[in-house]
Amino acid sequence: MIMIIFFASVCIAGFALWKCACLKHDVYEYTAQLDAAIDRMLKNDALQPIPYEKDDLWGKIFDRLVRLSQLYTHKNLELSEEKHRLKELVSDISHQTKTPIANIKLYLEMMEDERDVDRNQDYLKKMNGQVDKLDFLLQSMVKMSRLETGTIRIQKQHVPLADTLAMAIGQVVAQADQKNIQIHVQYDEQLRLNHDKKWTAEAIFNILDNAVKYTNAGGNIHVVVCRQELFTKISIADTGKGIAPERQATIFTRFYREPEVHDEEGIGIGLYLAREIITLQNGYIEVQSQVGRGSTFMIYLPNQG
Amino acid sequence: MKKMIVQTQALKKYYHTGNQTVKALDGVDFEVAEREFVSIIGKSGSGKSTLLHMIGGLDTPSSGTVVVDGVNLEALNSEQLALFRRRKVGFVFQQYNLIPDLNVYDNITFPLELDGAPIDRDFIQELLDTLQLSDKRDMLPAMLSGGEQQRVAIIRALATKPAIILADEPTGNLDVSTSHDVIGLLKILSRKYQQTLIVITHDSDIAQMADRIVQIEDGKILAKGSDCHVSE
Repeated sequence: MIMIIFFASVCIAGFALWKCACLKHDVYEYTAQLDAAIDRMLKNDALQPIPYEKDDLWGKIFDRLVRLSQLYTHKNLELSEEKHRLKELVSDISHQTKTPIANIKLYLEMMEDERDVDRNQDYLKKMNGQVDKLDFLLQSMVKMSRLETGTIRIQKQHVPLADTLAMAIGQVVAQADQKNIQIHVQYDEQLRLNHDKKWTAEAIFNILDNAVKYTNAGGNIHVVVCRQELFTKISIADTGKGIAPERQATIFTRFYREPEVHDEEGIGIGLYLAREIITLQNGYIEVQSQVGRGSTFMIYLPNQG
Repeated sequence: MKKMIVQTQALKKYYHTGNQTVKALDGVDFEVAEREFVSIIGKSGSGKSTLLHMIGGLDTPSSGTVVVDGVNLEALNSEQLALFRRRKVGFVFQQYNLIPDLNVYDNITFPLELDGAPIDRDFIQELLDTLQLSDKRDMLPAMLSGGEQQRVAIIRALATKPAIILADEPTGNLDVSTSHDVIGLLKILSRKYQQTLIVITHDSDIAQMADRIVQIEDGKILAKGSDCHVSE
């Protein structure tokens, strides 16, 4: 009897030791594979997905690693592209500042020799225009600095949306008046929404600013707010020149400019900023447009959260 | 150069009924880039669901290849296909397929538990917040509206953090404004989590929300450029 118990315990102990060794081997192998994969990622070597061989832990983790590696490669690519574009833009803007400065200098020299008061008034007016141009370029530089990630800090408050709208519309009324463009607004005064007032107003302003810019004199802009099941929709419709379908997806990208307005003021970040601001608040922006008939931008902000 | 996450080549699917051959897919070359949102539009019976099923590894082609994230699905056996679906793809269907006896939260975590995957509670809470369902997490599906049930199904699909989300008429049972909201949410989430999103729909308004529209008719993809003007 004792012999049997003894023999059984030896067997069990042996089995336990063997199992332990197997486990140890598995853990070592797993760690070695993990180490090799991480090493490759550290060397900037993209991991290639493997066919789905076994339903084991390593397969699962490797799949995650592949995804991580893909995102990492993508981010790197995006960053370097952006750096390149930013560099181009900075050189573009600095180049653009040269012209107004040269012009101002020229007018100043001309004024020095000019005794006629009327003519001098004319030069002053022209200089004023050049100063405006400089001002615009500098403002653009400031705006660009906002693109640095983390500059937009969203602070949501449960406040009436009407105030935000008023803030945004107030900034474009003057330009709209100048072009005799009417802005019609339709909203529920009681409507309160958890959102960041300052940044949301900036987003709406950027869209309105474009609407005014691309709408001919005498046109109309309609701003309508409507509450849906999940989102509150702010639509901004203009009677402007519209956006070609193939460009509708690209207008939100950074530094995008409509080809035909390249010599007009602008650096192409208004819509990009608007989308960033809305995305940070878990909302989204859409555009519908027909060339020659106008565009409608729709901002969707979540009702909750 | 964009990386393609989905590539199909000369994809065909024929069904034989008696003497007749039904060509559900008749030579489809289709590509989707990483992080792209593509909508597939077409009449019922045009083959759009069949195409989605091929991409998701739910069905095998008669001929042609489907490569998803570098792996040719043809080379996988049924067990491997199951793994592929579990790890790579999230499905959203017209029917919500929620389990009636489980509350919202358990419906979401159930597939994860079956898979033995760790449950990322913070992530699920984040999804519940974004899809505005936090206050309904203990409710049973029967107590929810159609739109809410579909949102639960979306969270369930996203909870495994798939690289691709395949949605087959996700708004088929919802009213117009809810449909729009639901696709909007899918769009926000797929962008946030860097996922590729393919949505099948017969509704051109919904299709317009995508980065690109692909039109399919009689098992074939219509010539490019059709994404500008979508007819019903």
